[in-house]
Amino acid sequence: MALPQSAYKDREFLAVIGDEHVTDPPSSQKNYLVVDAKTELATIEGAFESFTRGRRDIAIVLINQHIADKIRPKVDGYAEAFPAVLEIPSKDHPYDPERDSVMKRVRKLFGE
Amino acid sequence: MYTSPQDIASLDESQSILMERPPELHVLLDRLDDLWSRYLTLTDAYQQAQADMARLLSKGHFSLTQANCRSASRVRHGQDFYDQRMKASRLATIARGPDPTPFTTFVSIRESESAVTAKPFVENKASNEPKQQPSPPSTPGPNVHEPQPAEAEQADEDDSTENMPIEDSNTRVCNPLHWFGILVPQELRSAQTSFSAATTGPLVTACNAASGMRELELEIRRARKAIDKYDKAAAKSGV
Repeated sequence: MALPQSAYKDREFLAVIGDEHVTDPPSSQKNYLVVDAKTELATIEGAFESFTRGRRDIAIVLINQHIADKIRPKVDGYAEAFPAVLEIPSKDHPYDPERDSVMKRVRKLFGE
Repeated sequence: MYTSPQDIASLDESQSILMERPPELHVLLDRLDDLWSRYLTLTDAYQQAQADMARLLSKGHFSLTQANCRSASRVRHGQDFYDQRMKASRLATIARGPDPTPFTTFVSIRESESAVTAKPFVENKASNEPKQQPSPPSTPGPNVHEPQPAEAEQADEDDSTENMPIEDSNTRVCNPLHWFGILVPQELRSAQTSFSAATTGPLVTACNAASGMRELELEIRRARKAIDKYDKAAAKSGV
């Protein structure tokens, strides 16, 4: 059941977890995480947890799909409506619907 | 194919049984069909939005690569030039729709108050320097509350008495293009346009579709459970 609008009144920022080609310019509270080859898994997971459950001002979380694959259990296990988690392609990794958590839920609903 | 009279009789019998089912099951089945129809529509919208977003992001990356290649000073337009004072230029608004049925919560993208492109017009009679004019706003998408700002540098044709907007330091901070200098390559502007369009168009559609799909999944599972429960009750009662 959808929550009342007051539950989302503070959620207005877009957070990004991506490589340097994707991340938006920084805000005062750094609603982004630049991921490169040296970024540890715990850092990515921590950022995802922070943007989705820790902070109350994030409305949408954009995450590169190849980075979401690194923390796939956490992304697939996320079940909240907001902040909405959206997997997006990156410069070197095109979008693959087979790996998208939203499309996985569709196939699960169809019984595949 | 039903060739024997017995098969025809059994078919008529099953059809009559179907027609004689209580209306509650028909209501449940119709509701489930309606939910599936809406779910498939949203799935299609989500896939189309993802395709559109991929296209726009790809276009933006191409433009950015071209800007890096064609830069006279071999400047790489990346995070090395990020201004830490930057504020968010786009904000999201989560609101409920008027429809009380599922998919009532939707997201829209709006400009932030700090994303001011220019001060109000200031009279500048004596200056003969080229001035910047704000380009006409682009046509807004269905979920955008305000039109996006579109910056372009143009030489002023009448610079003697006409009131012109003057950009201040806040504007330079809010417009990421200014981090890379005053005269930035046109490809960099194209990249900004593509990325902004991806943010305010397909991204919003994909988010709303995914949110609606999530709500409909719950309703579909509830409808399925209700039908299963009804069938079990009917089997127990021997109907």
